[in-house]
Parts: sequence; C-alpha cells; structure tokens
Amino acid sequence: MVKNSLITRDLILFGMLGLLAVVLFILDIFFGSLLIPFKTILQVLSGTGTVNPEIKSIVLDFRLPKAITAVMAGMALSISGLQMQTIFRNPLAGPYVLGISAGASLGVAILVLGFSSVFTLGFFSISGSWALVIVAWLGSALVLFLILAVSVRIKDILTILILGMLFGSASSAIVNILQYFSNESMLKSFVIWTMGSLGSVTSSQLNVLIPSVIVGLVLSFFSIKSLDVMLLGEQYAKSMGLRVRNVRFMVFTSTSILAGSITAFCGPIGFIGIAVPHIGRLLFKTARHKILIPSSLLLGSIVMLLSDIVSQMPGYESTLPINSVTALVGIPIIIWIILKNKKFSSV
Amino acid sequence: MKILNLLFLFLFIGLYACENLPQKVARADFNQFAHGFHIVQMGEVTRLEVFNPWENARNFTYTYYLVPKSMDIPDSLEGRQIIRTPVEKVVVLSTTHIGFIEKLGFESSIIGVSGKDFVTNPLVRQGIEQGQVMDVGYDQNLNYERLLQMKPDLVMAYGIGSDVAAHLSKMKDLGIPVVINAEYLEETPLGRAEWLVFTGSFYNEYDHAQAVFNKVVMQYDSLKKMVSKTSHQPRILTGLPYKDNWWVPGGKSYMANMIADAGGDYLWKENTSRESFVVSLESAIVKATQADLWINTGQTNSILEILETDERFKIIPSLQKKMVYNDNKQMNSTGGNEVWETGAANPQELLRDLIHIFHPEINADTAFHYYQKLD
Repeated sequence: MVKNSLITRDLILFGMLGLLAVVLFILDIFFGSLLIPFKTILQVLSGTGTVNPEIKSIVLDFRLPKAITAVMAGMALSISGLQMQTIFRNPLAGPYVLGISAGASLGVAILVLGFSSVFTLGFFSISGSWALVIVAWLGSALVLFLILAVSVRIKDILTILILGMLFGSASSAIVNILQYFSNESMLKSFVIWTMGSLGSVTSSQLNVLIPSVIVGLVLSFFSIKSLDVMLLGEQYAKSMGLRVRNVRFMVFTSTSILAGSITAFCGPIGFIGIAVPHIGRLLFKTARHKILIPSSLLLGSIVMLLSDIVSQMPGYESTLPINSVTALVGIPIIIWIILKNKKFSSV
Repeated sequence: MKILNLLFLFLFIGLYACENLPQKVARADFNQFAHGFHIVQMGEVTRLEVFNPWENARNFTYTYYLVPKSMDIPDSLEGRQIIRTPVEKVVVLSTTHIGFIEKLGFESSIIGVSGKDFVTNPLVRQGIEQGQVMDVGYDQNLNYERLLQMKPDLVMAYGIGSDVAAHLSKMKDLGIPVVINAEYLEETPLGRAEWLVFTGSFYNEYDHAQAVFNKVVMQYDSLKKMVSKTSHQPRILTGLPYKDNWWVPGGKSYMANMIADAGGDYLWKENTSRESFVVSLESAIVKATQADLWINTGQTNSILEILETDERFKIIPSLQKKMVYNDNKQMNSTGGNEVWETGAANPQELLRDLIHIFHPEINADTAFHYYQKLD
C-alpha cells in the first residue's frame, strides 16, 4: 500500500511538472520585445489563418528556436550535473567539473582573441556563427580526450576530479593571457560569449544541437542502473560485479556531449547543472536515477524556460544575459528548498 | 567642518593667485561646434583645456600650457603640464589622431603609433616598415620604456573610461608630455572635425588648422544643403549584432546626426542617448523590417557573409533588395579600416558617401570613398 501511494505521488508530481513545462514553453514563445496577441501565436504555431510574414518569422525563426534551445540546455545541463554528482559522490559537482566549459572557453578565446585579426578574411570568418560553435566543441573535446585518457589508467575517482580542475585552471590561465593581450572590442565579444545566449541559436544549428543532446541523453538512460550502484561507492560497485571504468567512460562521454554541445552553442551557462538535480532529489525524496533522470529533465526545462522569460524583461527593448538570470532565478529557489527541508537545515 | 571649509577657501584663493600669468588674452575664440576643448591664447603661451575626456566623466578638466620652444618656460608655469611647440616628434595612441594630423599635412612628425596593423596612412606605414615609426603597444600593455626612449615632444592619448587617468598620470610622472584628445565624444560630425584646431595648435599652426577646418565646414554645409530640399527620407538601419545583442548608435550620437544631415531617417532617432546602446535581437529585427537601407554591417564584405553570421537576417527587406552598404571599402591587409583613421577629420567625405547612398539621384556621378555596396 505504502509503495503504491508513493508511486501515485510520483506520477502526480511528474504530471504537474510536465504541465508546468508545457505552459512555460508556450509563455516563453508569447513573451518578447514585441507584443504579439496570443491568438496570433497560436495561429502561427498551428499554421492556420493568415498572419503577417514578419510576425510569423519572429515566432517561428526567433522565439520557437529559442524556447527549444532553452529546453535542450535545461535538460542537458541538469543531466550532466546529476551524473557528475553521482560519479564523484559530491553534491557540489556540476556539468563543468571536468573542465568542459574551460576547454570550450579556450577554443573560443583562441578564435576571438587570438586569431581574429589574422582570420578575419576567408571562410573562417570570425563573425560566422558556426566558427564559434566548432572551436568551442573542439576545446571541450580536447578536455574530454584528456580526461578519458587519464580515467582508463587511474583508479581513484578523486584524482580524476583534481585533474579535471587542473585542466580547467590551465585553460583559464591561457584564456587570461589572451584577454590581457587583446583590445577592447575583441574583449567585449569574448565577454558577451561567456554571458551565455539562447537566442542566437538558429534552426539549422538546432538540427545539430537536438541530435547531439538526444545521443547524450540516451547514453545517460543506459547508465541508470549502474549509477544507482555507484552511489554506494566504487568498492561496493566493484564487488557487485560492476565494471566501474566502463561506467565512467560512458558517463564522461555522455556529460561531455551534453555539456559540450550546450556550451558550444549557448556559451557556458552556470548554476542549472548543480542546482536542478538537488531540486529533483528534494521533490521526489529519492536517490534512484530511474526517478532522478526524468525529473531532472523536466525541472531543468522548467528552470531554463523560466530564466529565459525573465531575461526577456517583457516590454523592454533589451534583454538580460541568460547566465546572470539562471543564477538570480535559481539561487532563491535552492535557498528556499534548503531552508524548508529538515534534513538539510538540521545538519 | 567650518575649519575644513575655510581651508578649502584658502586653498582655492592660493590656486587662483598662482594664475598670475601673462593675462593679455589675444584670442579666446569659442568653438563653433566642439564642446570638448577650449583654447586661450595668452601672449606667446597657449592654454588648452580639455573637458570631461571620457564617457560619463563629470566636471573634469585637463589643462595644458603650450610654450614655444623659442622661449623659456615662465616661472609661473612651474608644475603645470607643458608642451613645447611646435612639436616635431609625436606618438599617437589612436589611429584617428593620424587622420587629424594627416589632414593638416604633418604626418611626417609621427614617430609612434598604437597598434601598427590598423594604420592605413601610406607614409606612416612606410615609416613602420622602415623602422622609423615604432609601435608603443596599447591600453595596459603600453610600453613605457620604449616611450621614454623615443623622447617624443607629444603623446596624444584618448580614454574610453576613467582608467586612462592612471596611464596619463604615470606618463606625466615619467616626464612624457602627454595630452588627452577626446574628439570621439563629440556628438556632431563637425564637432569632431573641429579637433583639427586642437591638433593644429601643437604645431603652432592655429590659423592654418582653422582654415582647413573652415573648408571642411563649408564643404559639409553645402552637401547638407543639397539634401535639405528632398522630401523623401529613406529609413536607415545600422550595425550588425553579436549573438543576441544588437548595439546601435544613440539617437543623439555622432552617427545619428550624420544620418540626419545626409537626409536619412534613422530607425532609433527617438532615442535620447549620445552613446551606443544595446537592443535585443528581436526588437532590432522588428525595426529592421521597416528599413529601406542597411549600413555599417561590421566587418562583412558581402550579403553572404551577413547571412553567415545569422541566416535569419534573410527576412530583412533591405537585405533581400540588396540595399546594404558597408564603410569598409578601404581596408588594409592587416585589418585596418581607413574610415576609423580619416573619417572623423573628413566628415564631408563620409557625408558625401551617405548622400550618395540615401539619395542616388543627387550626386550620381561621384564614386564612393569609404563605402561599398554589398552583393
């Protein structure tokens, strides 16, 4: 009986979160600098009625891709964060703990700050939207490769954590040197990249982003059971017959694809990856990944959509950087949850 | 509190008393357009004041005394910032300064630049290649040792923010004669160009500079008159966004004034700011759909390159009609654009190009100087 009522509670929660995500998704498309009547938006989305082609383009080419990107970013970063927290058994781990964002930053910094004056001409034009994506991906792939190479040789997971941080610090040091030697406009371009952006992802970029996120998510679904075992500690997991290194390999690959793709297209978006898994744990009161993974998917989408709506500042001509909003929207949520939760507040 | 006030009063009187310079004011012309500087001629010495020389500076004045090399420095000027004129060895920290010096015909005096790749002046470039003109670095990487070694008569600096004050005082402490040039803060094209007079005074060529500037004013005004009778004003979109952010010139900015003078209707003319401001991609796109013409599209050289930055710009009608013009016709091989260098000192050239773009029926036979049509 108890078990059944728990399952019912989980199902109701999932239903409510799903509904909330859908509502926020529609609201995100509704809010923008230009006030478009709700009816018109529904007409555009359903493809009925005659709508001014410019309005149609604003909805279909600008707002819809942005809302989809928000969902992708929310899901990918939350799952990466969850996986890293489990693998490292550290509540403060996040998607960037392996140095993925530092690697991506290094790639972008080299392009924007280092070579921009050399490569302004030719196909690799600095303003080209794909150039940034490709270098950011290369940067995070380089870090992934180093981490994987290390993880097959090293037994201790803490050593990998430290190495990840060291790789990250080394990248940051190089980025600092590049920043020091660049002029104001280059610096501005780089700083804007680090603030994150959902709106610059176009439909053709989504054609790459969505499949990448799906691949990463599928990998994480395959590791649900192993992750549950890993929670008990690596020694125990080994005694249960789990091939710890294989699990690590799969989880690291999944995290790098997820966090790396989002960072490549949107810039490093902070906070979501660390906070969302905790919200899931507290709402569902469980550590099982069968529950935590789907709940992180939904909660990640919800928080990210909410942040995007806030960053729009409906009615204003300009927007806020998404990275600041994810922090400002999310931190109060987390503080509220921590204070409300006896387990945390009594510690 | 009262004592403190009194102390300040005495200090003030004391400072005032120090001003017992040759008070015969021969020339204290008020500028016609520029607000950022003021020249007072006191006998053979010229007092030059520069006001609020960076964005958001308030109640800030730099005072320089220009003393001819032929006379001794008066005792009363001890401790002041003194430039010996005419200057023969000049280091410029902005390429725009090269444009002003070149317009007056003194570019052979330039011995140092900041960022040699961006220089387009042929004589200065030749000097760089032959090693007579040195690169002194920029911003926080200014090579003070090299600056000292070069023994310039004048370093012309500029500042984006108040942090430049630290560089200025460091140079002053090192005994490097430095002045700040704030031409870029002027709101009007002729206001910027009037800094020709400021520049000329360091060469003891005030009258020559004034004449050059007057000619610019005459040319500019006669061009402006040509469009004053046109009834049609095309709507103008400017700039290119970076990611979600579209920086556009303020409605009271230099660029907005230039567009109005060329008979264009700037999309953000209602804005009251002098400085550029950021609008979201979406609100810029909404405005952009009303534009007849699109100008100043960053570093792009073709419509394809604009679409590479964001394919969604294809919905902008001026792009569909290929009514896109960029001011990067004169680029050197290392990324320098001549318009940054000579545009401020030659607003009449910029205006002529813009009129040609906005009103092709007038002036149809002239060729572009800075602009090119993107295909």
